[in-house]
Amino acid sequence: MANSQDHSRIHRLILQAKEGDAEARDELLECCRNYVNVIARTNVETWMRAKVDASDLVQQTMLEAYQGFQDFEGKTEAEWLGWLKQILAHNTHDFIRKFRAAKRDVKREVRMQTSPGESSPGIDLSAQLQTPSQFMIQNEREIELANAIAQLSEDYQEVIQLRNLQRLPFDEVAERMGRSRGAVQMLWARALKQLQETLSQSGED
Amino acid sequence: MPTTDNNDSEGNTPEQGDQLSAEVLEFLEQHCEALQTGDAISIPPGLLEKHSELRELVDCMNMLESLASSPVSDVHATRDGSGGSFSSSMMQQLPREFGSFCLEEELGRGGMGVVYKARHRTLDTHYALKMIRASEFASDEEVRRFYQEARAASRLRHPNIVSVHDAGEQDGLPFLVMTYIEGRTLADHFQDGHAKIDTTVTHIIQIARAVGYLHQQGIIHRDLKPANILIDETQTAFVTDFGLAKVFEGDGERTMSGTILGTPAYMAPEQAWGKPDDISSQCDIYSLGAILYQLLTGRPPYDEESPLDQMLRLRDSEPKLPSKLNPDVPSSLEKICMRCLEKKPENRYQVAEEFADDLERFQHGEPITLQSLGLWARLRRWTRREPALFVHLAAFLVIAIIVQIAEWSSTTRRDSYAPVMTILVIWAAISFLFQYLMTREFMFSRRTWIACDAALFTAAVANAQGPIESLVTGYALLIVASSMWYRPKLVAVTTGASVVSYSVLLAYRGAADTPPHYPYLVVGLLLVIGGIVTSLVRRIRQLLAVRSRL
Repeated sequence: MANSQDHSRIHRLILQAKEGDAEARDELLECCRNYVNVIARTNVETWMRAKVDASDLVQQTMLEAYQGFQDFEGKTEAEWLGWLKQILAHNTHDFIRKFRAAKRDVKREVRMQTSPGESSPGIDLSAQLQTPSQFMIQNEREIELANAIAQLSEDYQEVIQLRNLQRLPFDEVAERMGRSRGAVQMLWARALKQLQETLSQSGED
Repeated sequence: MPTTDNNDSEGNTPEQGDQLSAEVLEFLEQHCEALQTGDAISIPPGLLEKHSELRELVDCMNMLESLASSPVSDVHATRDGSGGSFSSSMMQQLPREFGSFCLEEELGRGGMGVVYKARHRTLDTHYALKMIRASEFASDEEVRRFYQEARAASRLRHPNIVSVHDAGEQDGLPFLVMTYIEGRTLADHFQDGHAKIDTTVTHIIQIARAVGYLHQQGIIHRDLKPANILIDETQTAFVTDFGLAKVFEGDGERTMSGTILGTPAYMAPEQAWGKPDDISSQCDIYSLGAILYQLLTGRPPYDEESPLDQMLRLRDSEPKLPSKLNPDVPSSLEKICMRCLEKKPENRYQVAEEFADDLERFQHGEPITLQSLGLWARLRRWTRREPALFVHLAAFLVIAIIVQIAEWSSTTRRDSYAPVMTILVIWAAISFLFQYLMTREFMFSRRTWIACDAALFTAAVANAQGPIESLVTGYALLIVASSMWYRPKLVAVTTGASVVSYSVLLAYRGAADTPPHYPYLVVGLLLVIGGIVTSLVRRIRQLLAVRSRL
């Protein structure tokens, strides 16, 4: 099974990287880049309600993960992805703030920084993620899925991103892509089919 | 009609043979919808037998959904329930607590807001609760105007307007509490099929009276559309979402949200194209007319495929008469409707009440008060409705006058007179035919028309007197004129037709006294003109796309 192989691959990479294997660390980060990218884009665009170039955000997140790797204390994939997401969440916050910086005034900023619901960066993830084995497989498959999405043509990526990940209704997808609703629906169906084929191919390899 | 510029092209040609069938597509769409609202639907066994790949597609979609729901924010959101920071209101699960309310389901999303069906926990009554979507990142100014608008809206008392009861802030999220209307939006309403004309008129009268009341209170709705009108079980219409468009208007926000410009189907031309300053209560009157049009005919006034073409048509053409789309529409009702859709605000009804009054007179079978427009305005309207025909006829008239004057001023009878005049008459007749074909949306009617133009022009020139080289400019005119459809491919076709016709003309008439390489120069010039015009049309479309999508 591709899953279990891949599963052990990431797991192995984590263990090797933690023992100081720089190559394993780079490989580990590289194979999660698409995953971080998909989630970053989904988050930022859902927030901004517009197409946003999130590559700086992904870059920054990968860089911090790279630099701060020795701080990562977990062992499992779930912990690893949780850790990545945590860095991403932190950066996303900054990213959106910068994006809107011109519109915000000082008072607002102060209020935001002291609001009681503010996330503290050192949140304890293990309490949230019970990591049953099913959960790990799901994490693995999400990485695979993100890689498969990255292989699609730009149009396909866009329509999957808007309809499935940002959960916009077709009318809005059509508007954002500047096409008719019918055209977007067809595009979506083809993108889904292509994605499924890419996934099953990568599973066979 | 050939949509020559549909950008759904080369990059992703449909895979032949394994195209997804319509029923699979329909199921996938339903499944996607269900997945995102939180229930799962199973694959009908019959469908699965026919399409074995369906299971894998559904698996794939489920995975996408789990990826979508895994965003970083969930970690915090599920923890404290309110999620004051990054976790957006829209990324959280329902039902959930929100102050003294329990948010039960999402009713809809507007440009900047989300509306929830919410139950007040103490009163045990349902309300519609509206929030700014991106509130943490809205500036203080935006929040201030949200409340200012809420204050204005809370003073409104009208049986056909959704009332605002309360406004406040919870976990840093400004919100607005409105009456919850059990019913459906007008948009859902007519998806079931044709509405009856008398119910339609009743609804529109109610809406128009409500809009008239808004105008009296100094509020312009600006975003009247079927999705913003609710119909309850007693068939009463309610205007909702008023003024909120105004809150976010006029600053950088419009470029962020994407929906303020959005689909211009119900927007007045001056609103879709003009500056925010041009927006007056007349825009709402236009939107009322557009909604009436939609209800009468089953489509908006301009139902072009892309918002882009809608914008272009909104600017320089007229909608089809409703009675052409639905023969049951009486002519007086049609007149009322079309009057609202006038391009110039001053030609529309001046106040919404007049519009409602006329509809009521129509309902009671009384004569409507509508003054007919002047001859000039009617002519303008006709030229917009059938611009190509108008341009042709105008050109023929000019040519005929010149040829006629030449005939009178020459002492001898010229051989070219009769054939040229005959061709002009035939050409005019053919233009009427093509105009008819175009309104019937025959395939390739524009291209055939253009090709005919090139051929007939060639025939006319071939019969003209003396050296004809100077008349060749007519081909350039044809190419430039074809750009008025804003279709790059059409310009290319015209350029091709012109070059071919010119070659035929040369073969027929020869080019005495001109150096042999001149014809090549002419062909070269025509091609360059064609290229420039094509790229101009492309550029216009791109600019518009940017404007309407951002």
